[in-house]
Amino acid sequence: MRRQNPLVYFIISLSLASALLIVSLSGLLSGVQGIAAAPLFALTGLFTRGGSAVMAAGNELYDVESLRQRNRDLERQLAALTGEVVQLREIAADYERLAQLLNYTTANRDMQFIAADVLGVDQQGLIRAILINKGTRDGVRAGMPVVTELGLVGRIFDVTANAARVQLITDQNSFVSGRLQTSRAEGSVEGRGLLTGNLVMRYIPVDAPIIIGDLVFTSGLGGNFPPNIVIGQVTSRQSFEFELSQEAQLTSLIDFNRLELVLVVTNFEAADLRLE
Amino acid sequence: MVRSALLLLLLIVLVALQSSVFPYIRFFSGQPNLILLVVVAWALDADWREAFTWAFVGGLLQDLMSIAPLGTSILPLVLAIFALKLLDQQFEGLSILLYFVVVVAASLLAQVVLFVGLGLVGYPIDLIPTIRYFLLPTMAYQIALALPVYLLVRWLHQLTRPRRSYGLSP
Repeated sequence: MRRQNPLVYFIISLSLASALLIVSLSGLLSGVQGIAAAPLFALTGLFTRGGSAVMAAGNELYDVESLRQRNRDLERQLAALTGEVVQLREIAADYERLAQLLNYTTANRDMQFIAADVLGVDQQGLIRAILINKGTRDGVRAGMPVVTELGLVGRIFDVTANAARVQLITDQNSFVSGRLQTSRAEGSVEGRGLLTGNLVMRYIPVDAPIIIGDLVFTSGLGGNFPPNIVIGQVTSRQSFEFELSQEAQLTSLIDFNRLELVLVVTNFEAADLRLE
Repeated sequence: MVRSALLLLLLIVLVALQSSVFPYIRFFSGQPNLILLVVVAWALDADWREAFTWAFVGGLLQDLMSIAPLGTSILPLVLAIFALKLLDQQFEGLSILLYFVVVVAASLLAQVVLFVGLGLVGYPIDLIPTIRYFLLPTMAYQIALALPVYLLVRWLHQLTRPRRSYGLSP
């Protein structure tokens, strides 16, 4: 039997891998990559649906156990909360009026959407990205915003013929221009995906009031996202002595671990400021 | 043939699981890289050609499901297999110990290559939080799962090993 030469196999494998890396970086393989990944996307989609079903069943079992305890707690809280109901009704009425003032529905009619199923998430835990089942064939392009009824999900990062990768706003490399609802102060909303999956809004002017519970919307500055899409809600604020700005911690209203269906805004083109 | 088909199927299922189910069990941002564990464990009992082939296939499958460019996961796997096989020749009989050493080294190398690969596609990495919340939890997962995966792969190896026939064929 002929003796195997390990060095030859090593050099061939290393050369192939390096060549693949170089060609992939040049962007020449994106079409082939999309075709090759299609069956994997389909299988991942199946597993995601299966996983979600198992998670839901598990949560229900857990819920039964915890509901008994919760019921007792809630009965105690009910008495205390009754007084607040009247106040909350007033707030709800205010909210209705504000919603009409914002005319949110009319604003959204300007947008065109494509609904897409979430197939899975990026292989690398370092990256907060999801895979969706719509691609260039459906009119999806890189840079398009992705939303749900609860607010901004992210933007299309990479797209193949029948699938796309969406960089979530919780990703550490996601930067969205945001505006506080009450003070109208602006800042940059950055993902903190590695830590908690929450968001932080930086560079808020030092004299701007930050109200806990305030909503943060996209400002549209920079041209990467359309304005007035909900990004999240302020959960805490931080100001530093001698700093020219302050920052706020935000939580998105979206549970990114349970995303199943998203909407791609197809009639918005992100501004490309690169020089030709 | 059956052996190759079985391993390919296992790798495909693992890649799909890593994108669908594993995110639910993330510890901070770290999650296990079972492809690396399986490929390295399989290489211990495989010849050079088979070991490199599966390193290539495993890495390619991983890269197809990620933003990272193709080749990012193949390179560390190929280097790891080379180191493993060389060490295995030098220190025969220490394969389980070598496996652990190579798993730790290869997992670290895979992360470093990933950071560089992502940097090349315009995805800069903030190093300190990345080490704290991604690299260390991933390493913890890799070390915790190394032995169970090793035992599973050994069992698969024995199950699918081609048997030599001593009887006369009819």
